[in-house]
Amino acid sequence: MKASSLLPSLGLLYLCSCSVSKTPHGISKDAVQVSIDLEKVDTDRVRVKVMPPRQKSGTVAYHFPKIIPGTYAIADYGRYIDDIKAFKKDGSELKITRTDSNTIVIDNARQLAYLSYLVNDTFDNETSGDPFSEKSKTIFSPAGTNIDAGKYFLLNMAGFVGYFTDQLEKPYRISISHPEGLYGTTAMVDRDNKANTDVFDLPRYPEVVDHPIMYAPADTAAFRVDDMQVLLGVYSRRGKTHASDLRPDLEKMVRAQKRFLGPINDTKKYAVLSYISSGGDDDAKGIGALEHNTSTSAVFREPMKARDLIHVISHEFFHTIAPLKVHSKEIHYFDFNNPKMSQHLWFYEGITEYFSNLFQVNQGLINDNEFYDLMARKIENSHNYNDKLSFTEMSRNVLEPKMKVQYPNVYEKGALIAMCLDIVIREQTQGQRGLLWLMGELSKKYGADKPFDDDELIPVITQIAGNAAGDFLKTHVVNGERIPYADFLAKVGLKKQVVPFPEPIVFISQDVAYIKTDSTNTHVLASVPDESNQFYQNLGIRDNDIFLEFNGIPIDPKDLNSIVYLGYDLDEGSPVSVKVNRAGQEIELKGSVKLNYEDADSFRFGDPGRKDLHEAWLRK
Amino acid sequence: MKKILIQALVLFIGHQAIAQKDAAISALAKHNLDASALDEKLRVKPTDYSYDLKETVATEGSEKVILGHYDASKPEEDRWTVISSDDQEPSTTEIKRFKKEHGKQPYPPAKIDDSSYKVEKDEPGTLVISFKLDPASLVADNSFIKDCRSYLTIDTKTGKIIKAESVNEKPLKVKTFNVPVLNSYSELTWNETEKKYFPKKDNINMTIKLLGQEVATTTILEYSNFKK
Ligand SMILES: [Zn+2]
Repeated sequence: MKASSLLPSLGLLYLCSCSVSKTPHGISKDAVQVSIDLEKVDTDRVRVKVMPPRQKSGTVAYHFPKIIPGTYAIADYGRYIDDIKAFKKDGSELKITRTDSNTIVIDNARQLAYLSYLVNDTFDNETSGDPFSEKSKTIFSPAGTNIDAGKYFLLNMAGFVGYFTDQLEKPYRISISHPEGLYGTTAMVDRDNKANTDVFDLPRYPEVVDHPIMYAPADTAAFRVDDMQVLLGVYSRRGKTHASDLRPDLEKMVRAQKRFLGPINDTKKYAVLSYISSGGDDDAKGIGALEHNTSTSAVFREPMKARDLIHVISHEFFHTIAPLKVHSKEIHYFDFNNPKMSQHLWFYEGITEYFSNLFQVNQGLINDNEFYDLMARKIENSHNYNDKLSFTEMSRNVLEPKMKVQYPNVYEKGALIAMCLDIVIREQTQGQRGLLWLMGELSKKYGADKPFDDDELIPVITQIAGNAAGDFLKTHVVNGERIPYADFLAKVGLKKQVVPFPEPIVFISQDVAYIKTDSTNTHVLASVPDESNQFYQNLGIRDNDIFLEFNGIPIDPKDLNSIVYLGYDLDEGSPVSVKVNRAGQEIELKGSVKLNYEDADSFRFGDPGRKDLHEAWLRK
Repeated sequence: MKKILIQALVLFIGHQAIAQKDAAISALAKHNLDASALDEKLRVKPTDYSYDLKETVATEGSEKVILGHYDASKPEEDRWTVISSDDQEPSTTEIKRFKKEHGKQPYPPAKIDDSSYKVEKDEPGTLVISFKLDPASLVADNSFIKDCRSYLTIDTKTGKIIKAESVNEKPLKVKTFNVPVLNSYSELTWNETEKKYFPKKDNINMTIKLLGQEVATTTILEYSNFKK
């Protein structure tokens, strides 16, 4: 790995082991040795060589994962493997049979010296469908791989490295040779100090999959929060966003998260791998992130705002508790090719998502009303899914195409389940304890190396947090009865109220589109049929203004709809500049964002008798 | 794991695209295949009748059912009541969207492009003809319908239309958005007392492509309980 002089902070020295001089230690004979060559890329494909430990049985299979933890969808990484061959010591070929896309059977395995194959990337093979739709086979980009010779590589290891049957517990040594100018962002520790090779040792295959690495020109930021090191690596296809732009907000947020969590979190290092897609047809489309124990791989879309990073990382970092610290056997002994799903997605994803909202109000990053509005939006969104479905049932069957479409509800209703459980515990303990306390108790009882039986989770929660908590989970999570949210929120003094919500896209307000295309479909023009678009009025955008640039990003004539994303999820009051062509003249309109608002249901505090419980809920 | 979807856009485009159904049907009035049966007597939304409307919107396998009631005796702005959303009390957002969508003023009747007529099927009992609309008769908001072809299925024994269908012939642009698939069909019933067509069921299928992702939605509208 190469330590570049561009690296901005000394803090990096702790994380980036590249600067620590080491030679590769001897490696156990039992290890699977993998070499990945990122220097000689063969038509967008990377050559991988795998040397197994001595095989004891006559026939053995080499498997690529069908699925990896945290994704809840079939990936079939083997689909991207070409030209796989097995060789003896003398260099002659051994017979293999590919029984399905993920499985390669080697007959005379005792003679196997090494396997060699080419890896295609998944970004290039994404179809335009929603990866969460019923029939989609697209791998969600943050779980995918990208090969862009000489410029950028995203190695989610499941796409590069497989395992031999029943040998998941063998150690791995992974050697990667890479172009000297590229820097690897990862939470792994590099065992050698050459500028163009990295060597990583991992104790078992699940750890290999848990450690993504991204190679890109050095654009990183690093900082320390208490005894945790955070490393942020950024690669933007357009070169518009840099780690230094994102660092202040990331640091502020991670500090707040650590304060919120207290001793329950003992992560020592955390790497954030950020890829910023151009949004083009040939680029990553799955915007979001995938959690790992000590890192997260995230995919954003230009223009990327610090706020996008915060949305994603606030969620992913809380995964360091669930499922990473408290999880069931289904997750601990994860079967990469015949997975059994846990019934507790409400627990892993729902609690995580709830905490990622709660900590913001708890730490004063948002005010109380903003927090109620976030929860109210989740109630509204949850109505787009089957609201009478047992969440445990959905979870257990989430790999079935019919159930897959219900999955995104884990971020909506899943978070609301967590919220109600939190309120129940607060009510039962006169505000003394809440959901975070419960998670602390559970992580004491279990832990990263001690999984629970899927069936015991609710009984154990009942034991720790009381019957009211258990009854809530049985009624609304297991039996799938609808949750009367207003009743739960009334316990903490909230009353229903209709309030104005910002509309998500400044180009659409009250169902009127304020953009149109010209007859040649090469320009996006402002359409101003009335004066009610506050964003337009405030900036002085006029009818038939041709949009040229939005916040410095040119409008792509090949993808006019890209402008919609530029006007999506803007912050009230943030600076904005729009370049237009008005009657042949280029004009730059500058000002601050004024959003349009529409009334919708939310909640407001209105019961002084419940003040103490309310304060305990949001601030304890 | 976490993903981001822009649901608002899907709803917005869906709302616009329903114009396809309305415009195609409004064109039927101008269609003079059987002047006595069609003509201006064709009323697709009888504003002088009260009725129930069941709207089912399915997006990627998730379904939402909204029940509404249209009361013709009330002042115009109060005619729609949203009764329930998936058997629950509807939210403010759901009520607003439903009222906006179903309380919309119809587009001005469009003209059929006479040169576009085709007989698609001529079998005993059934006649299917197709046509396109004259772009000049469309307004900006429903101009995308120029790229759609409408099909009418006629029961030749009764001379009545039983199904009206519209299919896009090429990918559409609804407002500025890409809609690769938009097709709708409407089942109609003939009301002998009123000598009018009443709507029975509308079915709108649409695929939207935005930000590199495709999202398919189906909207079914079922009309019942017509009362004067
Ligand atoms: Zn998650």
